[in-house]
Amino acid sequence: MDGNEFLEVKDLVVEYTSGGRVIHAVNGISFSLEKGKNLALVGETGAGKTTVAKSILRILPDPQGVIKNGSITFENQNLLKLNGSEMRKVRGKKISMVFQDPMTALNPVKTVGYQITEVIRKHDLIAKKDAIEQAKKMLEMVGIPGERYYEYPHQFSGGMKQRVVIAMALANKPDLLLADEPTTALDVTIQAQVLEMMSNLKETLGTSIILITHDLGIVAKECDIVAVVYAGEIVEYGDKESVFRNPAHPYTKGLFGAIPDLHSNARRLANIEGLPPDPSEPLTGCCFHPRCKYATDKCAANKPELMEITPGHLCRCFQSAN
Amino acid sequence: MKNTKELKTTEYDKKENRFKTIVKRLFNNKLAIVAAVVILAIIVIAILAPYITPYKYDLMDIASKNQGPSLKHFFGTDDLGRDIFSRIMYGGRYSLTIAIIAVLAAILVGIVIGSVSGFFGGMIDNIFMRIMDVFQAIPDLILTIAISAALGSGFDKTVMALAISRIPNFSRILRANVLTVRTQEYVEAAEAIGCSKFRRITKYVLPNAWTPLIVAGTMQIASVMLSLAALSYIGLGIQQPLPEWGSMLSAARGYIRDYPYQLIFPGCAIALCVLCLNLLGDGLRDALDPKLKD
Repeated sequence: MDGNEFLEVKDLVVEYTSGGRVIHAVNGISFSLEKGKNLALVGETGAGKTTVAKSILRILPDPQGVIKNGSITFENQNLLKLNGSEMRKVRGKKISMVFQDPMTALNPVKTVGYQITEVIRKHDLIAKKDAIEQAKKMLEMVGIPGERYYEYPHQFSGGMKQRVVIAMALANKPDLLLADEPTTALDVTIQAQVLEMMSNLKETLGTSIILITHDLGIVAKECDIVAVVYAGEIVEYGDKESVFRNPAHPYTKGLFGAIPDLHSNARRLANIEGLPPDPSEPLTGCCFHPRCKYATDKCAANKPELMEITPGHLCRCFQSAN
Repeated sequence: MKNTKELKTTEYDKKENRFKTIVKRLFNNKLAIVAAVVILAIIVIAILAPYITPYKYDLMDIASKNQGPSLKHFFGTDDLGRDIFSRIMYGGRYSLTIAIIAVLAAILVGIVIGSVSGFFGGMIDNIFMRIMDVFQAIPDLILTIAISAALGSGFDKTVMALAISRIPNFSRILRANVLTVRTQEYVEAAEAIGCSKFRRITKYVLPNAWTPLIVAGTMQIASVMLSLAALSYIGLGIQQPLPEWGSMLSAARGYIRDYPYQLIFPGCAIALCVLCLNLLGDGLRDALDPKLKD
């Protein structure tokens, strides 16, 4: 890492406090991203993917969520060192976010056009008329006729709302887009449309995307780099080809094993036995060892580091190192 | 032909916004509309009182005191020979104005306290809500009387006393709504596009949280009017010769056996006003209920 990265997250540790209990949501995640590349954060519910995205924008719930350690460097700026007003200039302008549920991500009492115009005018001192023009262009870019500018969110379908959300997120041509399960709440045909649109927009605007998902199919289609997150740690990291061809970590293998196969006659879907560890209780050894088929005494006692197995392909497992 | 017709109805549906739907629903409720018309009439009469009343409110005619209802004096005259009909028409000026101003002031303060304590939570919330608890521990009327007794009588002081006693009510309603709204994803999204806390409260949280205050406010105007009448009755609030309805009751209470009409007419005015405000409040609540489909 040459210090000139576009985005570099280093040793990020995030904790939530809830009713006196401390929940270790993210335990030392590091990754970096080059400009124009897409990164996927893959993992099951509660693994800490969304927390990572919210940490980058620093919109963790206040005061429950606290970034305990680490640095987030974006375009040579440590985001964690910025003050409130400097950070507000980054949000929505340089980094923007698409939320999971389009049904609730839009303000129900304002027209969709107003909401897009607001994002533009927040960061650009341009006349209202021009901002409205630009907002209409954004709507058309995501495939919604410009004359629907004056309509309210409840007059749109789910897929169209998500497009509006994406139009809002891209309105200021951000350098980085954090997409938090942008297609989870949508049905399959709309999913395909939204993904298609996102990758087209990425081409035209040159935006990098961090895609948070648990859908490996989407990862295969959209992303360059994959980071598999488990219990607040990255367990496997590498470019798409190597991770998909040679999954090294038992958890990643389990994930691929869980994808249903059209041609198999299996009556039950394969799954990974057990549940993720309770994030409020400290765990010794490898975070995956209670569920791992290959676990040895060494796994329960020592914590494996991220080790390079082939150039650029890292894995947090003792087995894969041999 | 059929096609064009269908197209037109969908176009119409699109243009219809929230406000229009609410008004339409309100108009379907006949009782609420009658109530609204009555209140409007009382307001208009109060405004035009100096021009339309047969007598001036403080015109005394000792020769014709304590007269029963007649064509000359529709509602009779009081112990100083003042025309009760004219005084009731004037009375709306004090009763309604004070009630409306007091409720508006209470809503305004309630919005500030409710949104701040709901949005920020934690320590700030605790401090504000415990102060509100102290106010709410005392019954509305007793609190109003206590504040009014401390401040003295008069228009502005009465408004203040009535407003202060209603603040906890409004701030609690709003706080409860702010608590649910602030966790919505669009508020989080607003933060993600770089909105400051102030902007998030004013543009995102409040517009989605304040509607219950319309209903509560309408109902509270009625309740404040009753408190005001009570205040005037016990000699605080608005004083004679100003024709506030409660103070008219108070002045006439000595004659309840001999000249009951002196109490009945101002009493009816208060009852009518309160009834209509409550009916309108009910109608508004139904019209604003988003779960109701028509």
